[in-house]
Amino acid sequence: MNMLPTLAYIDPMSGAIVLQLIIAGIAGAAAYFRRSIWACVRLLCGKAKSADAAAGDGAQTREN
Amino acid sequence: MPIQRVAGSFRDPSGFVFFREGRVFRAVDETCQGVLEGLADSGRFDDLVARRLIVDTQFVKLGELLDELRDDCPGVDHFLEHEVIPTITYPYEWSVSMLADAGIHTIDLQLELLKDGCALKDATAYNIQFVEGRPQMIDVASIERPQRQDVWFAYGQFLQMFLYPLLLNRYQHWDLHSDFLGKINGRDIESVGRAFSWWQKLRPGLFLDVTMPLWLHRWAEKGRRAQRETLEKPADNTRAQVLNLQRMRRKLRKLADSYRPSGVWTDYTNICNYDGEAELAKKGAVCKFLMQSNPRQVLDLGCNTGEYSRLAAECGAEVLAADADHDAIEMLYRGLKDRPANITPVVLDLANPSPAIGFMNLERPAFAQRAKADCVLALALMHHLLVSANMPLAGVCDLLHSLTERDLVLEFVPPEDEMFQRLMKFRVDLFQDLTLAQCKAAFAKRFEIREEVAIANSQRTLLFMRKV
Repeated sequence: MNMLPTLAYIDPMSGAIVLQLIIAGIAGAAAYFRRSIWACVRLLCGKAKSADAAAGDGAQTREN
Repeated sequence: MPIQRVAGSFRDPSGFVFFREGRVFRAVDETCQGVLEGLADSGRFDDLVARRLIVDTQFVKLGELLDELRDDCPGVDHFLEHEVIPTITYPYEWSVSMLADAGIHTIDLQLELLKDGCALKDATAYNIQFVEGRPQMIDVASIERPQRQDVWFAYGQFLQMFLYPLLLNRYQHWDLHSDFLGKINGRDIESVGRAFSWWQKLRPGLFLDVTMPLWLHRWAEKGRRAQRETLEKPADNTRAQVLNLQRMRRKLRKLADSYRPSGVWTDYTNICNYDGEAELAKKGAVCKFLMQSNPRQVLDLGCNTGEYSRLAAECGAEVLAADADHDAIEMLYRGLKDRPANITPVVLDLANPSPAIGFMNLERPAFAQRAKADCVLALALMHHLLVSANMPLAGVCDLLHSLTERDLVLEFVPPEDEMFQRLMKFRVDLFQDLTLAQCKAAFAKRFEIREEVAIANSQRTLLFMRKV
């Protein structure tokens, strides 16, 4: 099996490699922070929901 | 046994391709053999062949043939045998959708290989060939097992070979033919960058794939920012690469589908001066001649959208369909997706056929060396060669003689014909004396005229000839 470093015979075009590293970095970061990002989203949504609910209750109260 | 090494097979040091007694073999080194055997052991190699992602390939197992091949190629231990592709075509002979589909095929194969920890070490368009109108990867030795899986080493080459020619075609109306003939390895990023204005570079369609790589390329090339060690760092998460390639696949599909053919001859079928009866008579005569010729390979010159190529394919021939009009070939190729047939379409100007290019002018042979035909169809073509290309009648005869191995079906179009007159509109009439008898006399020098059929309801005549 080939366990040698990948050193191909073509010019890799450094710009394309760096771009892919950036994409990989963003994807990696997104995966790493996925839980915390979701937690933040849930927290925000949760807060927003409870705020909505509170506002709705308030409106009902006023209607009554 | 003498072997003929394929001149274009020299870049990849892991092996080379050669012909031996009409069969095509690939010599591969230990590393390449190891990677391919790994895929074969898990059944994935046969799966890739069955799904026509790679060309039909067999490992040459222990036996007499292997011993003979080892004698023929000293120092090489492992060999593969490939299916022989009827006609090799090159990207400068493809239409927009053909190039896009070749790119999509490369991506599909790369995505499949990633599932097994493998990847393509290069992404040149020359690794793709069209068989029965469908792309296939022929360079099996391009499969490797890289250290990094989040980055595709050949991505830059992929952009140069597939995306940039399509973007230049889409936004700058550059033709693929000139682009590939001028730059055999694809256009470099700086040159692509120069083709677009600064405001075009900010377009969403160009920013991520032209502008960003261009900026990053300039940045990385300054000083010692581009380090090869980066590529040797193991990374096995393929997610980033998969996401990027899926995006690229969608982009190529969109570029191909949004292309609108508008060539001069694409609506020829609607404007030609044949009425229904003449059309039927012509088809009947061509069909009869094809049955008599019974060719294995047909070259349909001036094929337009491929009506007669289909007829030849229905007669059981492998058809190479050539036309100078890119958009006619584009429509023919699109038609093959809905109604598959054994037709390989190529964009080819007979007055200036694809030359031999590349290393020592041997790497990519000229069209005439690649086109093999037992029978050439030259229907509604003669007047274009005589008038538009200014070829003498004897020259047309020599050209058609050089392209057929055996038979020729020629449609004689007299100068009084409406389509002939259309081409002559602003030209000096040099063809007042051109008659069927004169045409037959010119061709009789190099062909035996076996049969002629006057097409009912038209002034045209079909001639069936055999080389002498």
